[in-house]
Amino acid sequence: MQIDIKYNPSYALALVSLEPGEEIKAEGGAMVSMSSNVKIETHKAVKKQGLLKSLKAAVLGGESFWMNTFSVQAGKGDVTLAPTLPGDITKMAINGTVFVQSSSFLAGSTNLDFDTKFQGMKGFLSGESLFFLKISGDGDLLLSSYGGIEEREINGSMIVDTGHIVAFEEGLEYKIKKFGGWKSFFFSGEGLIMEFTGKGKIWMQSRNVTSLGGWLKKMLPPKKQ
Amino acid sequence: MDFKLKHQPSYSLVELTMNQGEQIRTEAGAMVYMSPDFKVETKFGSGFLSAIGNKFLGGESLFINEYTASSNNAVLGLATDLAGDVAHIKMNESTLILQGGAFLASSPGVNIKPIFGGIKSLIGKEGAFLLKANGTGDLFYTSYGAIVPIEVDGSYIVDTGHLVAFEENLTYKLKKASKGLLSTVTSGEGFVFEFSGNGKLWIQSRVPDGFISWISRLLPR
Repeated sequence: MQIDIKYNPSYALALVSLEPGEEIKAEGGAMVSMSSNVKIETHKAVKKQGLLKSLKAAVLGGESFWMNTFSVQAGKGDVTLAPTLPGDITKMAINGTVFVQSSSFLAGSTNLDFDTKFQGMKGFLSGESLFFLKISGDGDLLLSSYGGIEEREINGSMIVDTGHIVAFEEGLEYKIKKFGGWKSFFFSGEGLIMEFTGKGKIWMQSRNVTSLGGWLKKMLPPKKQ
Repeated sequence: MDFKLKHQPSYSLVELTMNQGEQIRTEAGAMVYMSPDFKVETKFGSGFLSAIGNKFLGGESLFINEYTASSNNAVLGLATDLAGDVAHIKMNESTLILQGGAFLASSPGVNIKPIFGGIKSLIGKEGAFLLKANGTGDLFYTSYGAIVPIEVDGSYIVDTGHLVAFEENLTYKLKKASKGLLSTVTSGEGFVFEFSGNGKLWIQSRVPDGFISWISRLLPR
């Protein structure tokens, strides 16, 4: 499987070439175009997971309940994939476990295992549903971001705004905290943060959807009653 | 006429350098900057974008602006409303079909007419009208996101919202992305165009509809 990413960082597109027998699964709605010999199969986001748990992931995580697997039986086939938001796509080869902010998942090898991890009510305070997909195994993963993706190796500790987190490696511990005291929490413009400790990689996005929402609200005329 | 495409693919701008007497027709509102040596005439779309109601059906303004250079080396910069790309094609007695909102500018030798895409494009919800450009000259068209050229030899499938333009010798039909009614709804892929033949098509890396529904969710109700 050959994956190229073009037109980044603002309107990135992933060009996937499949050899006979190869397949890739992608978030619902991610397909832009494909060769006509590519087959689509629609299935639950987490195959072995019960219906109720999948629903929870969809409702709480903002993640599509359904995913599509693209495959070719004979001959080569191309699929192009893109997220809804303007932004980048990052390809990473994983061998182990990463936690991915659920709306950042775009596509991945079909041999990767998916599970959901609920972050508790803490996440909702910030207005962002902090909901992670636990993705493990050995394969390729495509993540999307709003803005560019910044990769960072942590050895010690690092603080990240919750709205900017895209993914992090297992092995990193984290706590969700207020930014400073209550006064800072409300007025600093930072809200909730994740404090990571340990050794491992994290991926962040250079823009924040919640902040864009706030900016748009300010720019719009007040609603007529 | 010379042109330069700049700031691609996110915030593309096309800069035209024209000689005396040369003309270009543009979508209303596309001018970013111009040297003083142009005569500008705003025209109702008749004869050019000819059908009444084209605004509703083709996604284009009913008005176009015609710029005529009154001296050599007149400079005109053009851009669109949405963040995205601009592509150029040199037409030589050829025909190109454009998605309704994709027209930016063309030289006078290129005729642009709305054509009814048929029921298939209604279901495809990107507007029932496509634009048919034919003739000889320069044509500039636009997208939301990057414009990606694709060579088709045989058949190829494109999500309806991602289509920008295609050569006339390609035929297309509308179909469901996946088999069965349930997966058509659940796959999130909806309808696609299946092109066949031998020719070139262009897709865009994002869909305005997707962007709009995403923005809507961020706004107060």
